[in-house]
Amino acid sequence: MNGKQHPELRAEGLRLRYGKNEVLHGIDLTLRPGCIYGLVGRNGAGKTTLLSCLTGQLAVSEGAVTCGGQPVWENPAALANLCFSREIGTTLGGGPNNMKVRDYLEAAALFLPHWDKEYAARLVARFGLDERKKICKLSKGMLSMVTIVIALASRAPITILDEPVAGLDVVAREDFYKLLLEDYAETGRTFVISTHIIEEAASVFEEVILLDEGRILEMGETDELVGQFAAVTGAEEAVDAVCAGHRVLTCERLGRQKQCVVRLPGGPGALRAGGEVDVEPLTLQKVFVTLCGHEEKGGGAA
Amino acid sequence: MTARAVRFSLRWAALLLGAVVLSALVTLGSAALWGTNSRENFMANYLVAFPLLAEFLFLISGASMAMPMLPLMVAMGCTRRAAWAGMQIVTWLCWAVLLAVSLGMFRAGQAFGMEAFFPDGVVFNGLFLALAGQLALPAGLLEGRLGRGLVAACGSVVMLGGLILGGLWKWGMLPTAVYTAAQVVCAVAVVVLFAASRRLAMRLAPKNA
Repeated sequence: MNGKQHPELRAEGLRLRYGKNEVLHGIDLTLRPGCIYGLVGRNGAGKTTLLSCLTGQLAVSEGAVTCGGQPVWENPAALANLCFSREIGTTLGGGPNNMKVRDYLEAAALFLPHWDKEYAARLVARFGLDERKKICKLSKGMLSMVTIVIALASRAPITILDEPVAGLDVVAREDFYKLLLEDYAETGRTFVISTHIIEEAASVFEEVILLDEGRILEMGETDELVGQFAAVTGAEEAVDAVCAGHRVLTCERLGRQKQCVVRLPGGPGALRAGGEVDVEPLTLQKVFVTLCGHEEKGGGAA
Repeated sequence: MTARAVRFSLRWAALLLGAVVLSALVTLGSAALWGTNSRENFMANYLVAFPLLAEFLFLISGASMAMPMLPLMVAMGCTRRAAWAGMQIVTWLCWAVLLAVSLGMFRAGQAFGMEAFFPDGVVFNGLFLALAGQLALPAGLLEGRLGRGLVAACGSVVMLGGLILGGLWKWGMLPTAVYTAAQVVCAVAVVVLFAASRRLAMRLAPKNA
């Protein structure tokens, strides 16, 4: 497989309403083939809802979702290119939760047309999953491992993982990202990963989508996006002088010093930094907190 | 896609059908070996009650098994239309097998000279069985145990009510016109539930399936 043969997933004017409550507000999105996307947003931002709409698991109220130019909704040809490996709940009684891991994987093999049985078996062995165990008996980490096995072994051209590392220990998380990159290098397929553990995943994401209150706040190449932000720290007057004329997002006082986060579309070089202030780049997590931490916003904008 | 959904649903239905057929064989074997005197052979009672038990089993088990299977199929990338069609095909297949087994048991009871508390009308029995099957699917699609339990309980009440009506008619306590009207209501309910389950299937959102 190679990235150029994979389809593009596109959403246009996507809106979703539950009664009068609109949870997705006109989302336009194009996921190009052969790219690893990170989807980040606060709890309740609409990440899982958006992913459900993109994969035809939730009917949209307005707008269209297409994969390779074909509508996704109730279209087997388009759905064959997609795998949405969602979190497995343990609280619901009966059903899949009473299924054994083996049966769950067999169901995946039945419905996912690109399923790689040997790869799935290798992953199960690598994670030390007991296939005879029932889903409801698995720990949170083990449940995440099952969703990872399904996502990776699906070999779907567009593979979407919702909170794949929830409950995984740091070693397992490292292992997951390693596996993901190995698979990506081999197949070049598109991955979309929704996560709250941003710092660890930042280096894996080629592009990042910041979702906030049902809207896409930012979308673009991770390095380019992060490179637009800088933290300016120093004496208050000096910081104000350096930040003057730039878009200041947040300000806070650190003892006798002041720190402001500024957005510089041209990069930190646009600042007239003198020796009296420190200008430091932000991490993706800091960028996320700056843009989505509403309560901290606007406190000291210059 | 529908074929895959049938294959998937059949796997779970096979467990239920296997249990029904096995218990039918055990009951018949017991009657053949030890006779049909219910005082001497406890199992002989089942010759009379078996159809009711089979239908009840079908409704309750169907509801609990169908519940997460359709959302799971959708979560795995199956279309709702195919998942619903697959489950309907399997439901009607179960209906046919259970009707055949019920009828066989009823006839066997008669052959053994037993007075069965069961309406003679195969059509009536079949309709109630179909109704039970159609109740199982939407019951299974509902979220929460309470909703599923309520629909399954409604199915049980309807089924028992149908059997009582059949018995009353058989003993001449119910006018034929009322009995016929009950059959029509039952048939309409099957159609309504058939449409309702499809509507529900097209709207459902798999949550943590």
